[in-house]
Amino acid sequence: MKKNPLSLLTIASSKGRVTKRYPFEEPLMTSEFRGKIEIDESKCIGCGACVNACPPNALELLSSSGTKTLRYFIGRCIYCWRCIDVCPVGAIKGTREFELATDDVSDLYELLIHEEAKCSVCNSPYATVRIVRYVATRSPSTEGYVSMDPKCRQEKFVKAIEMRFGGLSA
Amino acid sequence: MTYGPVLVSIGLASVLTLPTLLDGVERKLKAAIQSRIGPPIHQTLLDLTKLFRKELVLPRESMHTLYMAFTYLSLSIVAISSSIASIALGSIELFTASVILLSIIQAIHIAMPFTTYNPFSIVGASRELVLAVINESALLITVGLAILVNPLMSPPSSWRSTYFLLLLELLIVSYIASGRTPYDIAEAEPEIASGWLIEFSGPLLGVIIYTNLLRKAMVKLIVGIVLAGLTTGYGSMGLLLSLIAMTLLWVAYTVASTIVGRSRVDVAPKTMIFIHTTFITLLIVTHVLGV
Amino acid sequence: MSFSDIVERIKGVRGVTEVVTSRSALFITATADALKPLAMEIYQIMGGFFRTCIGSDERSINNCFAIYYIFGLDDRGLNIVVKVYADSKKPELPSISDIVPASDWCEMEARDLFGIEFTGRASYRLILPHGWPNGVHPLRKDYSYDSRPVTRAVSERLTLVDTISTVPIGPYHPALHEPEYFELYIEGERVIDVKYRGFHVHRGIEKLGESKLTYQQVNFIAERICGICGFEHSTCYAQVVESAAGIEVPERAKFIRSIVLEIERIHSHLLWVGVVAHLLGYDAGFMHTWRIREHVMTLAELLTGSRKMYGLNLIGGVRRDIDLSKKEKILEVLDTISKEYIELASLMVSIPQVRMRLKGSGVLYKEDARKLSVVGPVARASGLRRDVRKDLPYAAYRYASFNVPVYDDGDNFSRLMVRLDEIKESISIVKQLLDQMPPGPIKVEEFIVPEGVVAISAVEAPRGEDVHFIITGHGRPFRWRVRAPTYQNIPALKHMLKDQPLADAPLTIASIDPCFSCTDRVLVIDSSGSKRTLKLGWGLG
Repeated sequence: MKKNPLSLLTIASSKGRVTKRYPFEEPLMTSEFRGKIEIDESKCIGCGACVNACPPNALELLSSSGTKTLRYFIGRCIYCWRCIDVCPVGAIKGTREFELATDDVSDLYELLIHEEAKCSVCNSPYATVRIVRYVATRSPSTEGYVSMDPKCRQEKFVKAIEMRFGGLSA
Repeated sequence: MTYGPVLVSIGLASVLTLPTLLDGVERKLKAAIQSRIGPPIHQTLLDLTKLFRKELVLPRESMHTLYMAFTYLSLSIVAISSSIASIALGSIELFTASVILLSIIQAIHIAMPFTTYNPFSIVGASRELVLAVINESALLITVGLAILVNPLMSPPSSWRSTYFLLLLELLIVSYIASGRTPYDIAEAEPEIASGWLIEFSGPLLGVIIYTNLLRKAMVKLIVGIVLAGLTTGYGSMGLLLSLIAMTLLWVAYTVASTIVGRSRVDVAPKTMIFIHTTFITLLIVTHVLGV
Repeated sequence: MSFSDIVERIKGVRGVTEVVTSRSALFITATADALKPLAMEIYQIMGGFFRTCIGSDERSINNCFAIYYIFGLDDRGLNIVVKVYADSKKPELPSISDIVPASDWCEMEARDLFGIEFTGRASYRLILPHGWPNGVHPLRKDYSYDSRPVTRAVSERLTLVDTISTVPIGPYHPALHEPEYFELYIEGERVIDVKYRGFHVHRGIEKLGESKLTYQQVNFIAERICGICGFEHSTCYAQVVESAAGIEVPERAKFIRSIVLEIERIHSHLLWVGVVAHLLGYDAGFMHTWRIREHVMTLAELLTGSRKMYGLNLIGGVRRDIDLSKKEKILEVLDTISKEYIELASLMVSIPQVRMRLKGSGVLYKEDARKLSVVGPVARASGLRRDVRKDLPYAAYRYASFNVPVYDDGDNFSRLMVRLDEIKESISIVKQLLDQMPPGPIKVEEFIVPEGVVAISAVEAPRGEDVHFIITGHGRPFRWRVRAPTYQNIPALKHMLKDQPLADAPLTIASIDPCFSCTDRVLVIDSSGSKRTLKLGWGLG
């Protein structure tokens, strides 16, 4: 068990040099590495499922007049890829990118702007155009309701019940 | 002799420049033993250049540090010149002077942190003091004996065991004086002591680091000079041999310090006293017996 | 003593109002008067260990504060939870720190964060900064997560004694890895006393938790409690919720959890060995252990997607499977490291300086270790056979046979040897589990977490046991408490540093493998305190 301190030299010579001349050489990385995410603009419907799942609040859905913006802030991202797990349309893809340092913080923001659909009755915005289209194609039976905001939808539903059964209390 | 001054200048120039590169070699070699690529050989030069480009920052409440640092540097250069001259010209007086100067340099080296009022560097320096008191005494005794056995700095007619013992003890003394593990106590316990250099920065740190390298070279040069005196004798060959010995010792010390750990402040002096007294006693006995 | 004897003895203590038994725990409700006799009974007579105590603001439910004391009868794999109510207007309870010295910190934590006073002991501020206003208790439900009290900066210096020299370590210094503050009182080169002030790392996770986090999200934040052994925290959190919700985790997921837990232990121990080599001036040992560790880090990335912060756990299972090619890679890496690390470890302990400085320094005697209920390698190096993997088996540990290395000297050398032996055991555990891994799904997708259930979970992290305690709430925990192993081990440093040379202090502090950020966590996540049908019954822990 007892060893000569000099045997370190044998160990060292048999192992050679293990450090890399990074960044001039390829970084040590496996195929499984989780890096930054990429959101496919053509697929995203702006539903916010990823925003609800994101543990560090790196993904946010911001509303402003007529648009809904999905904002990805890399500075907060913990690269857990939970958003990828929960995205209903498979719009988020993981990459192996990790060299993300920058001297300009705006490089760390990625914005995806969605147009907002307006309620066909009261004209108030309620969801992204793409969600409306997504719901309409997925379940065509919602056709009569999907173009309204929740409040108008509710009213229409109550009216429909009234028409058919003569009121909710019946 | 007309070539004397030329010889001394060449020797001095190499001792003033070599240490920065030898330190680079030390770092590279250490890295190799630790399976790393390590910095380039001229890294120490780059470090020093960078330090000298920075603004001058003095430790709190102290101008003394600055004066001391420059005394430290200039005395080191004087000591090196006189030791170079001693082996080139065969002057045992100059050799004696250079060793005494080395002791003074060591003392300044230890005193400097005390001017900073930083408890951590003072802890580091007090520890260095304990080791230096023992090691410097051993150095002076050993060098005294060296002068006694070879006062003319020329090869003896026959080799005695005293010479081997003498070189061996000088090796040990110079190894300890070069501040390497296991005797790098001043820089030990990184989280408490943080080394005695902690209060210095910028050009001041540059001066101190550079002079430390000179001091490290000087303690090895002494071994080389005694060895040259015993083998080739003084003159250009002697100077060359001492410089080669200094370089080789630097490499050997690097390897030795990489494969051991650090001692502790209460244990190190005990082991040192034991080693030194054993060797010096043996030296004196063999010298008196003439074997 | 049989299980029914234990129950009988506890029922016999005056003031015990309710005893509920479950598979691995005994839940007791008692009056404040019964607290001391109960502590005496469980800790002194039955020989239990103390895990921690947890304050809770239940005024919205039953108009009381409450404290939960968790004891562990390790040799029979039983947790005993004692719940005591405290008045909502003037919360005050008798202190048990005279009987159970290990309860010192958690009582002071409850005092700082909930304003519960403990009688019969000296009180001091533990968690909150000195400049924090009096009477403001941030974990009370009526304290909103975004309020910022006016604080004033106050010196962190603990005492000013002129007669002895004080060597401060920390709180911030380039040589320190984490904020920590020790004051060492020295005479010559000898440490005569030591004081610790920690809890500098408040990471604001509480705010995030209260405003945003859901059960699944907390998992990823729990992993970030510790940068070295985060997976233990995330597993422990997942287990505590699974236990509260009665989720049956698929066997395969349990195997994967155990395998990754052991891989994390290997890398953590190798990291520690490297740090110790560095502290002993043996930098070559440091570099080479970390070279070996690098294989493990790459392996972890292959299995989980990240070198650290694996993000592997979810409540209900794990996110990535181990396929055949990964299995082969694991075996290959384990073969390499087991050869290399044994060679290096035996070389390291042969270095005279390393051996000399580790032997006999930082001694923690068995009785002190027991008194402070220390955990992990620190306990095992002081002759206490404690290991949650054996005592309260979780994940897939019941399928592996392994030894729990125990050394009796209690010095730094024993702590090194415990860890070196544990690497060997971990390698063997991973191999055994890989062989037996059953096929099947790796997670349960659908589950409901009922409200108001209390559960405890413990996981043996490289530094000792992590304990997570939960009271479930609506969509997120009502009360979540994390006890990191270092929380339990730091008080032991006082005994380890006393009468030792100053030069050994950094080494001894490092020998408990401290993780100050874990300890400081301040990761107690509370719901917004809404009054739903939250009835605090006992869960099936």
